[in-house]
Amino acid sequence: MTMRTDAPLKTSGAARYGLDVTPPGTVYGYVVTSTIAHGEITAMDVAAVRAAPGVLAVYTPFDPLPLRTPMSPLLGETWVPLQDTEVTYYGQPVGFVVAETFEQARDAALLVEVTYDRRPARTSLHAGLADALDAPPSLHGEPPTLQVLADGVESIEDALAASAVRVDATYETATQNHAAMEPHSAVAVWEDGRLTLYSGTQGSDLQAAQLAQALDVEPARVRALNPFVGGAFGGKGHAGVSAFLGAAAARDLGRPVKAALTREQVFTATATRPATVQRLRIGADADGRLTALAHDSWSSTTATPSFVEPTSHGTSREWYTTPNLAITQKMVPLHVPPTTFMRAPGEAPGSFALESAMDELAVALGMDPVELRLRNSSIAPPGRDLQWSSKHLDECFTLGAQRFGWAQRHRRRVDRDWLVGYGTATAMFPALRFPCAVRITLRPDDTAEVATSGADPGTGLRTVLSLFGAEALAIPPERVEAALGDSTLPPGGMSGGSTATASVGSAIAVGAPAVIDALVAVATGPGGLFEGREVAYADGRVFAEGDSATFGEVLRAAGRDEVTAIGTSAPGEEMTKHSFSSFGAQFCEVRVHRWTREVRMSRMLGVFDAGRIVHEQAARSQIMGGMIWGVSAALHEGLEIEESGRPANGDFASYLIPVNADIPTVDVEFVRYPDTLHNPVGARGLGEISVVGVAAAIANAVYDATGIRVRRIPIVLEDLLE
Amino acid sequence: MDFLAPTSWAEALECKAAHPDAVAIAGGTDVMVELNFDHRRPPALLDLNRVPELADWALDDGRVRLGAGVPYVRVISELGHLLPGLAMAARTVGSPQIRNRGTVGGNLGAASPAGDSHPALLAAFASVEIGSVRGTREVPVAEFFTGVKRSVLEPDELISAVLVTPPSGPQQFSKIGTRNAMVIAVSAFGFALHPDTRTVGTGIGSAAPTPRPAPEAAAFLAGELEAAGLWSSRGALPATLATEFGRRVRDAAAPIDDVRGSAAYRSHALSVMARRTATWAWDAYRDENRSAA
Repeated sequence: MTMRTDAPLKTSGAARYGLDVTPPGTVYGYVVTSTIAHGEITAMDVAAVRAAPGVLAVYTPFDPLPLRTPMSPLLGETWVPLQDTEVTYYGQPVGFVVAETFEQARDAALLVEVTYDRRPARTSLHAGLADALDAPPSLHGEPPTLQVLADGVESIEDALAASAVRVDATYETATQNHAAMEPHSAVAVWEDGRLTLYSGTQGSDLQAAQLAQALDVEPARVRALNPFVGGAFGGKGHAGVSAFLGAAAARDLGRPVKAALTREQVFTATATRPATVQRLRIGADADGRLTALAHDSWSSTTATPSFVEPTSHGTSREWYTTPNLAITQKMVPLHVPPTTFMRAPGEAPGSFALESAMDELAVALGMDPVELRLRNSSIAPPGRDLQWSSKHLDECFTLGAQRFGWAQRHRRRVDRDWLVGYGTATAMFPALRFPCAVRITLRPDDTAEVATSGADPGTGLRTVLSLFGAEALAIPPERVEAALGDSTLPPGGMSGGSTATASVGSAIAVGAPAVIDALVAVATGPGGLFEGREVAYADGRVFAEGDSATFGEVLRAAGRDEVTAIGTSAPGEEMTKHSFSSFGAQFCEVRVHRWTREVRMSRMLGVFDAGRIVHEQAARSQIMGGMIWGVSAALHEGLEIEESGRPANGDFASYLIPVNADIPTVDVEFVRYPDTLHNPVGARGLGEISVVGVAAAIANAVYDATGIRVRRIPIVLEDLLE
Repeated sequence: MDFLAPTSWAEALECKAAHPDAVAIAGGTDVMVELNFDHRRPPALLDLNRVPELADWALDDGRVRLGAGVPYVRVISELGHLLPGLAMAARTVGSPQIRNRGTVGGNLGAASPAGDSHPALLAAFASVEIGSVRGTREVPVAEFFTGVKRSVLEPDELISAVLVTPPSGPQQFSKIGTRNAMVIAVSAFGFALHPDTRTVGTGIGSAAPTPRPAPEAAAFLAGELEAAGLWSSRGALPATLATEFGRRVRDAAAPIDDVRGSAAYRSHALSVMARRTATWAWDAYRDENRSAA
């Protein structure tokens, strides 16, 4: 297996992230944030700030950097700071101080005196449930309230009432921050009216487009570079305040500006996964076949509603066969930090509710939870004609159960001071593609370049580009250089929605024949090595009868620096023929201390059907990371927002994520069925699916160990006190 | 902010006398967090890392004199036999990086109710050696803490060392956290058997405004052990006695609800930890006898 091309650079510290760039003359920006959750800024006294050592500029809503609100088809509007005096959450960026050093900027920023006209802040999701609003239509354009009822059934309530076995329970999930290791940051440099921005993002072309709009300059005058990204997970889709303010201040001051959020600021000045409340009602017949499924969801969102966590549509809408389905999605606008996509938006918290409820149903039926899921596996989303293109979820469960020793779960297990329990859950995440363009270049030194704007936020996309390029050109991966993370490259490879591998692979599958055609034209054209002859391309060589040459030789003979082609791809008519998803089965073993009730995950296994696995190591790493994140969601992680709107735990000492000592064995297996109905390379997304179901599997294991059903994550010690 | 960097203990004391509002810093694992969060902005930092007198430990007149600047990593690797309870506590501190930097002296100076060293030091009946240009004094750890993050230290004083008598019996330390490392204690408990004086040492962490011993519970347990002749016979610790001891330790605490845990949980956990550490220590005491025989 080819090593990940970025691994030596990252492990040796040689990888240069956006913030590692320090052009000559760089000055430093520090963001000032609000200390109330709702109100209007009536005054900002910055006299002391201006007088502080090293300070070059102070920007506030009263003395702003002009920025326009960018709009993109994919992301919608992106908020830009300092354009008005309204405060709608605690920790909102309200000022920007630029000084000769970071320390001077930070020191001065703390001298700002802000006067507020305070207004009451709504910060409690629970308090807002009663007057929740309907969420906007889902990404697929489905309405927030949706029903599929069997013929003759008048309402979901009737269907539930007629069911032999019923479960009715309400679940809650916490607000989460992406907490990427690389805080949101930017280095902005203007030269001759052109901006170069070094900043971690999920798609360099998207970031460049947002900056160009915000700064009101020609898109061609903005270049965004992000060769390495220290984690994104949905939190670096929208361009951030560091990028907007850094770029605008750099233009204003005529100096390069470096701006980075502190870890505490990342918790409020970026965006979070909303908190949710979800009610699940499931009815089944005595054999465990679902007869009715109702999933009602409430999501927190911003004061002016923006992103809503689509928990009902992301799970119950599609996962199981049921003759009667009713889902609703509501939102509760609050004065809390912005909400946005986070890994498996909808599916991750939605699966905690649905898969916990399925476990409760299995208990009510006295049925093996694996068997219950096999029995209700869908061949298509309820009420839709389009069947799954390639679904091997049953095999994930049967293989996983065998490998995990699931059959052992019937023994009541006590291991010294620890109660041991097993849990399982389904994982699903839709297989998607985004429009994508990849440029393939053949060079005279017999190397090739595969280039797209995109980003590799740790996913392994850089390596995948090389592998696909090598495969399509039939040359060794070592001879294929991947170019990524530069907005001047053809637009594509956005790392979001678990789309990048399928998207770039499809584009390369189109581009490679095109570049080979171009090569052949060079070889056989006037002055070409095989002028006028019949030729064929194979394994990096052009073959004429009785003769052959490498593509480099062909190019050199013709005096060409390169031959290039751009392949493009986008979702197409396959969407009218099938439904597409990745699938998985999660298994967890937990230990609950008999006396002091700590919960520890002791073993986990995920088996996934994600189409073709392109790079084993990168795939396993993606899955392991997501599964560990699921442990985090179940046992550690939650941003606690106080009544005032202030996060109580906005730092890494108290916003808990697992440490190495919390994660013993994580086992990952794939069933390998290339899905060429979805795209020519047969690979489906496997980034986001990894987190889906894990929290439920853990809560289900906790129930198995203790008999205590915890319906809120993260699970805390107090939940398990008897 | 001034940065004072004395290179001897005498100079450090002079600095502190001249700058009583300077904040002493050793490993910086507490102080730097407070500075980074802008919780405090002292006019000066007094860096004690260059003071050689603080950097080592020695046996001194029958006691271990642990320099205030000795990091946890050395407590773990060098003092497991002389300060077993403290070494156990040190293993639960932060991460390897933090254990390389953090010091017991700094832990005391910060005086957090959640400091990991404190329950072990309380149980071992340790004392804090405090210096100033006015002289040196010794304060039992049980009298050192005066409130949340407050201690008996005067503005011109610095902690020079911790003084601990080597153990005459087994010691134990137990800590409950919300994850397996890098975690502030939800609650913690230190326990020591002192067979030479037929006494019991206790230390409660994260369950009161200050770290505190449970003297009534300790006296109760020692007295019951005495009454039953168990110190000499080394018979098994009755389960009911261990449970009652746990209950009395719990009653000695004054926990609150916070983001890490509820008061009710802390009370429960303390009773469990006290019962179990006492049992483990007593079993070790009995094993000592067996292996000696």
